[in-house]
Amino acid sequence: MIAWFRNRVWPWIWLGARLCVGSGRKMALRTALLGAACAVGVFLVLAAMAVPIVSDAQLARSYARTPVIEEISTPGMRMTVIHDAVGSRPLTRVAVADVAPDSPRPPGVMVLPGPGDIIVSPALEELIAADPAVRYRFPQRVVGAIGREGLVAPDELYAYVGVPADDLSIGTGVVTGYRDAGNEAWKSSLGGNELERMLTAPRVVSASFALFLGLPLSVLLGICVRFDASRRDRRLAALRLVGASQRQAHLSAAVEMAVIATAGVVAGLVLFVLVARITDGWHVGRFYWYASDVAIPPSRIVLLCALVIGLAVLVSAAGSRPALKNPVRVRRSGMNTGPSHWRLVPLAVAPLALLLAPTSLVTPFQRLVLLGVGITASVVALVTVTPTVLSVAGKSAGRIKSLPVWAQLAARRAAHSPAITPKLVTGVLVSVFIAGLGMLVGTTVREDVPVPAVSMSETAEPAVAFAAGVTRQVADNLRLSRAVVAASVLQLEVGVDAKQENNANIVRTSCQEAAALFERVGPCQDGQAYRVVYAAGMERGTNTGLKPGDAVTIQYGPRQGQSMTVPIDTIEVSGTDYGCWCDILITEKLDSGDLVVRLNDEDSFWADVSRMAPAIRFQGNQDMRRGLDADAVMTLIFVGLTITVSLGLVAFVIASIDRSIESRHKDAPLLALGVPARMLRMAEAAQLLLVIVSGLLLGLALLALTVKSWSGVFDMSFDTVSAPLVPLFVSVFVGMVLLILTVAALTTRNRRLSPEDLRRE
Amino acid sequence: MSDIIVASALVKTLGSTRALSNVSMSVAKGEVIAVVGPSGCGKSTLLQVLAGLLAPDEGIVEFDGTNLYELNDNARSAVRLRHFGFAFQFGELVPELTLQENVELPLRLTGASAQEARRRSATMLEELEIGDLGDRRPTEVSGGQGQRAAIARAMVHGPSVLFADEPTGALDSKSGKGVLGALLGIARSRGTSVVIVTHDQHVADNADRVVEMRDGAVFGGIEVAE
Repeated sequence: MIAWFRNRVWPWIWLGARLCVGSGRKMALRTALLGAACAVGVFLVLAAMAVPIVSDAQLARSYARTPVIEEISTPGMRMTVIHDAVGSRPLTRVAVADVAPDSPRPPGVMVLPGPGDIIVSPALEELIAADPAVRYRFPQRVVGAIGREGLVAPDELYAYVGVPADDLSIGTGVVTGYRDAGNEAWKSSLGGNELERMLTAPRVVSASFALFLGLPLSVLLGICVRFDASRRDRRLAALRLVGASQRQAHLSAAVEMAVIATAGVVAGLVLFVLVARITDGWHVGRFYWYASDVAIPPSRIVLLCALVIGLAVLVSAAGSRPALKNPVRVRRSGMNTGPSHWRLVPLAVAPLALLLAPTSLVTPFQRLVLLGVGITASVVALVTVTPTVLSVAGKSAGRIKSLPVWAQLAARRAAHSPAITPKLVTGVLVSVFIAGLGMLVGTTVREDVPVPAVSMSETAEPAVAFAAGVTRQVADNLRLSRAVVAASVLQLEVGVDAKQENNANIVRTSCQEAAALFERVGPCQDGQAYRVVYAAGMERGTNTGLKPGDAVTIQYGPRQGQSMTVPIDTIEVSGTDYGCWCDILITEKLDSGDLVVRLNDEDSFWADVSRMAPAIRFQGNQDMRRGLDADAVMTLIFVGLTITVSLGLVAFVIASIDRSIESRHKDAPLLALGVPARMLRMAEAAQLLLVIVSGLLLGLALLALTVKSWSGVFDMSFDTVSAPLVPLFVSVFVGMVLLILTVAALTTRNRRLSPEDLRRE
Repeated sequence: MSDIIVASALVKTLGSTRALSNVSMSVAKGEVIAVVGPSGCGKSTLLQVLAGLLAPDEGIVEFDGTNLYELNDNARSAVRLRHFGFAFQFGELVPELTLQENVELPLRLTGASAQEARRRSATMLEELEIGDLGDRRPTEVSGGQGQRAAIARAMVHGPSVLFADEPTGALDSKSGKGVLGALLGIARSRGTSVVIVTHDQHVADNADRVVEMRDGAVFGGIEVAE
């Protein structure tokens, strides 16, 4: 066995290893490019893989600090979590009361605050120190900081505020502990079934990111692997002629490729580990993270590395196959074989799947699968079909006898040697297609997931705020705020008549405080009950069906079950910003109840609430989002698109260098014959133009089909989803034409013949 | 002399061209055969078919009694590696390796130790008068020097048969004569059979037998007078 390995296998491994440290500038360039592509690829994919891992860690910490509140009679610590905002930044304020030495402490908190004390996150502490407006909100004494185990992300504005027991809303239960996030219990907060838990926003974004990256990256890897392909083919053919079998030559080529790719992968991995360690406080949009959360399991890293190396080896093997199979056909310029028919297969699959996806012939799940298959096949088709398209276009153009010589030359080269030109545009085409898909996803996200308002000041309404279970003392405190026009402590009851056909909203509050509920109130006296009559144009009073003197039973509220008579006295009101149509007003001053506040300056009001009544939770400011909300998703899509287009451009540059080398070889004999460089430049531009026009048309057709299918599957308007793509394609077309001219000029510049060219070509 | 290669009724069509049309020929041990004929007559195709590189559509090629095309690719490659040598117009050296490493290649690939391969390749390079160029890469030497290195590589492992396709075609007359002299000198001294495709009358004059081809068919096996 050892002898067999030493004699039959080892020599080929040795050869592969020797070739990857081969000499020569081109070889070094190819090694460097492939290594760099692998490094960049691994780095970016690891970054994409880190997104859901970081997000999971954040969710777990968020879950673990959630108090378990029980309605028990035993006295104990009480808590209320209030979501607020500082400008566009979410702020969480946890009001804590009745703290005892043995009260359960949330993660990251060493000591719980007493009344007048506050414990803050480092980001909030910085903000308090730097911003007088924030300092105003928190007049309490800072007695500690929250550790990172108690925070979702380093930018989080979080505070535990100690308050007197009376300040907490009535009926707040006792904290008996915090949720146990162990054994992935926190995942239960993600959804009711396995599918919902699987398809969380971070995972969907991560998968989209992988799509953004994976495909252009594969193209980039392929271009690097096949850099200077003719020389590589010659070398492999030489090995075959020496006596290497296909398998042996493949083995040596695979070893060479694997060694280079491994070096690149390791470089990318090391770079990622080093960068990940210093990312504390880095962010993408509003998505911040702790460096310690970037902990990708080693098994996944190993799998990724194996995939990247495997892909490089696979592309190399596939590209070298013709040369290994027919070594005697390899000439100085490599293999001049036409594109094979299998390249057309993805082009057949893509339209079929995309057309079938939105039909009613398949189930919703099958629709998604078909859409995925169609999109993937479209991208693969862009890679595989472009040489065929170019070859056909070249042959067609070549039949036009009236073409000038330079155009004939371009057409013949495109028809008979389409190998490298498509590579030039494939990377860009795939990137453009993926960018189009990204915009499609972006449009869908914007349509389906309304971006939440992150600051109350961004919304004009409501000018009224509502809080439940408030004591009069708290209300009186808030009334001191300059932002408060009027405040009302009230109780809301619902009564229904004996036949249970007609009901009425009953509001108890004082005459003075009724001003918070209505714009204008007629003559009023405390201690009375009134039937509410709305001013002209307001029809509520006529619809209750209740008449003065009717008996109603109170169905909801503290007086549930009691009866009352619909009052005869009326009171006229106008306006109802509060939103509750009141039918009966009972005027009395309450010690506690719900609080309705009419405002004239929202920003000031929220600051005052934070300062004067930190334990009160108002409705309307609880939809604050953080981390991966729709905005962050859009940011990530934008970042993904930027990276995708960058990868496409890098692929373009590398292919340009490759093309420059190839055109130099091909043009050498013509230059020796005396063909003017200008003519070669025109031929070059014409050939590039041919491939870009045919490639873009193909890309445009596939993208249009994808958009059509997408809009059908997601039940969206075709115009809505396609509108953003038009400027994309126009700008890409203009950009490509400029690039073509640049490349044509660069590749044929300084085309002086060297002795090497003359000897070789 | 017994035949080392026997080819019978070879037919090979490339595209719409019949490159070989019922060709039969044999190569005796130690014999030097020159295959001549106009361009496109099928000389190179014949060489490739005889060498186990290109399967014929019909007919058989036997090496030492074994039908080459009944062997699988691995076995046929092993025959080429151990028993055949190749020298082509452009040398077909591996561009990333030095001349010495190129010459070492067949030895290393047949399991020789690095020291053994280095020693034998150095001797062979000396024999071909390019011993001082072993550290250079193919692109750093002249065409004649590269061709000598290709011959060194083709002969270093002591093949039974050397196949050469216009080995002097890219060289000037003087270099060509030098390369041919070296090739035939080594082959004859070691009893290696040589099949050489050429347009060069000088090459044909130095062969034991000249096989003339026209339109894919062999028209004679002329013994060359001493």
